[in-house]
Amino acid sequence: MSEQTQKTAGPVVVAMSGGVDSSVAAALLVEQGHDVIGISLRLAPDDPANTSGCCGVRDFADAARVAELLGIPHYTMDMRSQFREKVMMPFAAEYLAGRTPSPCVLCNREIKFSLLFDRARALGATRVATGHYARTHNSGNTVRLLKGLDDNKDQSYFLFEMGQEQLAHTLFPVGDLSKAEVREHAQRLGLQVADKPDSHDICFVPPGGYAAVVERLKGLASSTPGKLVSGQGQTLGEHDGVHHFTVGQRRGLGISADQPLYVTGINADTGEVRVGGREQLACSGLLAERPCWVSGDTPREGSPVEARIRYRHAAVPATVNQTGGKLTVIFDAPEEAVAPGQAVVFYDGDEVLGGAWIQQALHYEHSVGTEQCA
Amino acid sequence: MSHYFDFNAGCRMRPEVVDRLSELLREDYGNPSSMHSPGRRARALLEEARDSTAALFGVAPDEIIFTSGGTESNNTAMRGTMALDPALRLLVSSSEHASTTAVADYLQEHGRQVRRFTIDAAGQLDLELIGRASREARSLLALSLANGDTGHLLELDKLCALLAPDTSFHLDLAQAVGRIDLRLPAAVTTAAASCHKYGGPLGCGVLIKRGPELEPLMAGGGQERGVRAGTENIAAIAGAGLAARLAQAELGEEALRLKGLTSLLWSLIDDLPSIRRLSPEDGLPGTLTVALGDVPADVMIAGLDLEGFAVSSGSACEAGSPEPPATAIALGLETPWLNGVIRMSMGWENSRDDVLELAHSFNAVAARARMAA
Repeated sequence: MSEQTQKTAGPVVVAMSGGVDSSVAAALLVEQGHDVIGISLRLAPDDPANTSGCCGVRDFADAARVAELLGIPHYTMDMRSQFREKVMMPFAAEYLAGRTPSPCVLCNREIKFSLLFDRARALGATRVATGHYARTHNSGNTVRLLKGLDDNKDQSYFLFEMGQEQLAHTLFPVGDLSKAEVREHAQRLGLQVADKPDSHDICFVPPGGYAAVVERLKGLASSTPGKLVSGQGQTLGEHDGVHHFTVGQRRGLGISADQPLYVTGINADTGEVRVGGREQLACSGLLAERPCWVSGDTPREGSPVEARIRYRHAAVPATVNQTGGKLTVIFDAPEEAVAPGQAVVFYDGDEVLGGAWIQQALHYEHSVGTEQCA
Repeated sequence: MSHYFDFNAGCRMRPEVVDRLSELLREDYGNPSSMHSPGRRARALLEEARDSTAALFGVAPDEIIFTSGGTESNNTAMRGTMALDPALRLLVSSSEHASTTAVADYLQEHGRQVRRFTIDAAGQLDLELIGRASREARSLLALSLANGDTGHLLELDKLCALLAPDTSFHLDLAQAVGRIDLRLPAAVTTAAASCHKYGGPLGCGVLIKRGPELEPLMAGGGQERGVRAGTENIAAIAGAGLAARLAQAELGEEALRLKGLTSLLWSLIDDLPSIRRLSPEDGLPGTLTVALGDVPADVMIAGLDLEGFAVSSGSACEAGSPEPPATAIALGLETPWLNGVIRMSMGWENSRDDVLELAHSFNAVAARARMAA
């Protein structure tokens, strides 16, 4: 588009965290001639110890400085109460239910591509841009969601719940850049955030401290204490809450054994955390719920896909069947550590087809004595 | 023409003051405590500013102490009074400026007795109750004459008649000065103001001290009657003195004009489907605070800023996002209204045309936001 048509297409709201990715996203849009409005969202509660690289007072100041340098208006909007209700509380509830939440997917669905969209439209903007490493591609009447070009930074996993309406009004200006190129752009543009470290995985959780966050949100008493048991039903130890565990976890079990032990299943009702050797992590597939297909169309029965069962998991070949609102996913080869609560996201090469929420892992019969556990 | 409608937060220095300041910064470098001629000239400027400032506040010149701002003045008056009398109890309203409530919190955390009073749905304190409290034990009462969030005014004369004679009474004048005629009753023992609120420079404040001694926050060379040590900021103080003269010259007239603009602005936006006026009709001239039930404050503030208008929600935190003002909460406002509080505060720079334009954009921004919702 020419500069003139960029302007007439209406202003673009850029979600600015104060980090290098969204700062460069804003800068590139300005260079392309868009009429840009920067908005920073206050999401996590104020915490002087928050050095996560997002949502601290320092980060808003960084975003404001970048906006000032780019000559664009910048506003900080308070969405802490909505973030707590829609993202943090479900995060805590999932851990207490023995599952492993994926709060960034929820934040994208409930906050960035929902509330921020509303704010943008209220300000007369027609589109929202973020610093996500992902791409969109228009083909016919459909907007396709693609992985970011930088394999190591790709964030498309977190975006699978975006629908056509949202994708059609979303820009990912850094999606076709590598992180190194983003930092080069930041240097070239003189952005003071060029060397700012990458943010941690979850903005409201200090590294290694998620259990304390769960306890603060839900109260210590709400977690079920119980026993650590082997696959054969033998008690190996005790624990003070299921929220301390994630399927596939090896560290922090507090039991010694001659082979490394992993969490293979969690039952929040009984407080039983099942542990076993690595071979017991192997799953043949999974059941998932609340599917979301980017194009809006459910894939054909038995469609071959590549499935990612967690962020940074290399997608593996699988087949998917949908019955009503439920999916059965069968891996071509066994996969380890399928954690209920995480999202399973389906790809066809670079394209995100859609995804769903993992309900339970399908284990091999020999490992646990029953086809379905976890 | 000015699209600035946040006078309760701060305002442009009057151009006459800017001119005077730049002269002063170049020429008047002397220390008023020095014996030589630059020192004597600085002393003369200081005392001249004290006279004009005293006239604006309606007090005697030797009751004026210059500080770095309203926050320092509130701190010095409250902490300084409480420090000299360990038995003194603090009476304070819960919808004060942060520089008052934070001092109350601090004193309470350090074992002092603090009693807080809340405003009713009409924005008024229970004066009888405060009067009774003042008679129960020797107290320092700290209140503001005009509420910065909404412009509610304290019924000062009525209150003074109810206070025990031995009450120390600190009055925050930050929002009132230059907008209403100040005649401080004898019951007021200390008062505070900030010079940038009436067209003076930032970093200059006024502490009025009439009663018993205060323990100073700053120890040093004994400047400002020993209450505020530190070399006087002559240029700022002299600039503030000029601003005081200018403000005083137009006082009654300006109050009437601002009252007119406030009514005009309300009459132009009161047709919106979901709007409430929080500022009282007879409140601080120039302050119109409203609540929208269907558009969040951040959208209104950002939307108006994009159109070139500066308005606020009342208070902003360090992160820069608007927060519901304490006064709106005390008035009993609930969500979604609480998240839609907009304060438009006017001053010497705003004209009738400015108000017409603001109202036009206010309606347009609100309408677009409603459509988008």
